[in-house]
Amino acid sequence: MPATDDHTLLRDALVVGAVLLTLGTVGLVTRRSVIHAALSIGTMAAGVALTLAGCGAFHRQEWGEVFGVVTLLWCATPAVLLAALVLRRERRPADVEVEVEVAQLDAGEAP
Amino acid sequence: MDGAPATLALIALPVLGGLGLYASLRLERSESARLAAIGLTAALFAGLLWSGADPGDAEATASSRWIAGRIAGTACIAAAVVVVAARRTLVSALAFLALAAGLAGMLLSEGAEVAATAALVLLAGAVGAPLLALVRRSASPGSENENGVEAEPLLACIAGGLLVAALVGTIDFVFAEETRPVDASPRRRSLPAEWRPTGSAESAGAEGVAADPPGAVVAAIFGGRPMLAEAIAVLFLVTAAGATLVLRRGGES
Repeated sequence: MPATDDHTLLRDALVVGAVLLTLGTVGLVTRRSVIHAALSIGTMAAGVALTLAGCGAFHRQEWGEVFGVVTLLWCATPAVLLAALVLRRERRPADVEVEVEVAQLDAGEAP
Repeated sequence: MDGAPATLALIALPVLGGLGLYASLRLERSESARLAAIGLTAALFAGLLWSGADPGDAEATASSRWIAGRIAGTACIAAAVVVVAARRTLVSALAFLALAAGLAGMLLSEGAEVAATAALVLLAGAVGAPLLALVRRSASPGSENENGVEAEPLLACIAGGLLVAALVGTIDFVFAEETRPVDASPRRRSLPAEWRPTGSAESAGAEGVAADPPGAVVAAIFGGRPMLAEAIAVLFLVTAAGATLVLRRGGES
């Protein structure tokens, strides 16, 4: 039987994990920005990782911690790819604007 | 907190937190009122954490690990509320970094040092920092309107409050029963014995064990199953290669 504070630590981890998961879900549903969606997914992943790690620590199993790390990695992967995709999408207008400004300068017009 | 006050807190705090979250998402004209709503929402959701049962004995209550865990959990919840409710993406990204730090503190209090390190590296380093750079890169005077709120988040906030109540209620219901661990061995120590300092008292019983820190780290994380390490390494490689490929194609087009 673990000490009483082990139960309290597990309960704290589960409560914080549940709140993080819920807030991330609400953010994913309500915000339209892609960056906000990625941050909300990261918040959900943090809740899941905390729950897994807390349960693993309570039951003296290292697999909870390992699965928590894998969960974080699993959600970091699409977030990084998402950042790359958004960077790719946003590169085109910027390049076009620079090209237009250079053409205007070459033509002697004010950009 | 036990009995009727705990039940009342379990019902009232998520409902009021959901309403506060709705107010923080919908209030657009008054910045100070929206900040107050965000703070109130964070306090209400953090109240769910602090309304839990105390450890009981004075020694456990006074333990620094318990106090640090609750403070880190409060920081986590407050940062998550700001991530969701902040109007500007820059503030959300900064709050996400704070969330990663709070999560690391919470994991440290649980005795999960490897997961705490991974949380900092992955959430703050691999997710937060690129998104922060992305926000800074795409910041323009007219871009804040794109980060607005959908037409009606009321149902989502109500559902979120109900979800929190259901989850925390389930947790407290389970804790009302006698919860027994699978293994009653002493709590896992923070570092394997073979890579503690050789002069420490804890390493006194570890003499004769070959000192192999890299192998000990791998064994502590993955046990005797190297396939998991291989899978994670492949996932890392695919991520890096995919991001590089996407960026290169974007540059060529």
